[in-house]
Amino acid sequence: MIRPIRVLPLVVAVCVLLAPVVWAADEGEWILDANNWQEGKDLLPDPVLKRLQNGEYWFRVVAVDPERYTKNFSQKFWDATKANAGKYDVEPKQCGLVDKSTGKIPDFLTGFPFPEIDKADPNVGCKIAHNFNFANLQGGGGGATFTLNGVDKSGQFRRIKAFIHSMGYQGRLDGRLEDNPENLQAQGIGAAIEPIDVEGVSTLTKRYWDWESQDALWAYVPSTRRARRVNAATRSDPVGGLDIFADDLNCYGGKIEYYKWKLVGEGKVLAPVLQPYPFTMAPDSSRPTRFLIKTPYATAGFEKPGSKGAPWWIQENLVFVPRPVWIVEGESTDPYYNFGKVIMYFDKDLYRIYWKLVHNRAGEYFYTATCGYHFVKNDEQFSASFPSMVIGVNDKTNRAALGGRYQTSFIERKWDPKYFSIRTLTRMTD
Amino acid sequence: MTVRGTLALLAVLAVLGLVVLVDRPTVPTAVVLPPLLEVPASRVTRLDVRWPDVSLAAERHDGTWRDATGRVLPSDTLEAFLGTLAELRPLDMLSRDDAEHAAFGFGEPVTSIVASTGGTPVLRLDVGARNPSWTGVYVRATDASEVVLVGSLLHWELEKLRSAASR
Repeated sequence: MIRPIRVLPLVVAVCVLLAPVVWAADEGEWILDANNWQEGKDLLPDPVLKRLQNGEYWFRVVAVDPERYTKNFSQKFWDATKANAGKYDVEPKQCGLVDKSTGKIPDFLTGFPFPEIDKADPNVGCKIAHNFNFANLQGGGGGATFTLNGVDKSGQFRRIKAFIHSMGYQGRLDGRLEDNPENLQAQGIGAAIEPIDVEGVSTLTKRYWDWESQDALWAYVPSTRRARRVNAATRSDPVGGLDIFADDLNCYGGKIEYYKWKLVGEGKVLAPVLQPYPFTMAPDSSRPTRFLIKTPYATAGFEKPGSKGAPWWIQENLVFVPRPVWIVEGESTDPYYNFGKVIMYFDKDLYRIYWKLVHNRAGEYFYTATCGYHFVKNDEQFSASFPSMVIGVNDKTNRAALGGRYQTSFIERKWDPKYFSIRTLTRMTD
Repeated sequence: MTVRGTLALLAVLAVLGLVVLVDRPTVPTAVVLPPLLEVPASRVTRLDVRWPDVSLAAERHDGTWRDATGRVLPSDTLEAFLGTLAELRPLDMLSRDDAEHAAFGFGEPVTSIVASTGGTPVLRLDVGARNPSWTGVYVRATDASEVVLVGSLLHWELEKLRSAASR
């Protein structure tokens, strides 16, 4: 008979040898860091893997039930998606959405327009991008006040406080808004609040619900007291001199029709989320159409003495979920756009873009955006996906910027459309 | 002021004007180096790529790319690769000294690219290592002494091509 005391060390040794990863205290969680970086080989884009290997990044990986993860979107969203099957296509010139029954752009739709993705379809990349857009639009509108932090190897060198408010006309789970005289897909306002030298600098964006029109953008600078129309390509300019771009919102902030999309592969990546499953929203006592979401603060290395890794790396309240992805290349058709080829990793089920690698026009890779999300759902009639944060890393300058990381955000289910006007920009600092 | 004084001042002015004209600083003109592939990508009819462990010999007939066994290859991947070669231009000239080439990744088995049109090679290129920040990749014309840096989009496109070749 084998005595248990003799078997125990053998069992422990076998377990250690066979364990593919270092398991943390919580069941289903493990830590990926420089000690076991090989485990991340097929789960991270190359430049990120390199920083993992160097000990600059580490990941709290949480395994999720794939079926449960898709339930981050409400049943109403999935029912709408199912009902969209076979109804839509894309037109050949700009890959704009087409209602097959009319040959025109659809009047209104919600859910994913393309529930089935066929890899052999020549327009598959563009269809994936349209699905991504309609996942963004489901909540209808909302906003948050957030910070942008410029961080280099020695810590934070600049901080900007700003807000974004947005309103969607398409894709809303709450249904179509009849009053849409400008024929918009969505509109938004963003403005800087701090520091004093940028206070009141603001932008208004209107995205038209057609195939051809580029977004209309106005920028207001308080010192000149003028709101001027600017090119939509300015979304590829650094925000406030930081290593982050307006087009990093959700990892792609532009109009789908103004990129050329191409599916180049599929794989699995670590998806950054505040938590794998939804947060709930609570009614705002001051406005019946407004709902508040409280989320934990994602502390970065420069804010936590003695932390592990790069100063810009998130230390708390961010987990990474292994997710199947489509790997898609995008390239702007606008000659004034600064980026060249952009490589994006789209969730195969929820169509969130988790990572984006950016080349400049000379073909140099220079930038990675890590796009973190959180989901909001109280019941099966409504859900929303929020961009929680962007970690923008410029590998050419070895600097980074953090955007987002807000602790309170809101969903507004009945915006006054008049709020999204040049008048709001010009009166903001009055 | 006397006439003589005025004439003297005019003479000084003329000399100064001459100096300004002759000594005018030349405006530096940006040197635009030619792309790696100097013929249109559409003219390339054969592409040979040899990685340390895999190789690809592809030929184009009637718009379809096939490998040596006759297997049809994904044309969009090959076209994108050739398109990248036709767009990428050297970002920096680095070394003409053969002894230094190992530092750029040429001391070990390298990836080599030969693009031909009508049986004539139009590009012979060795691909070395990525630069430290991975923004670019070192290349040199096969058997040439000069190492240049080009955008790392070449690395991305090579990986896609390698994946297509390995399927």
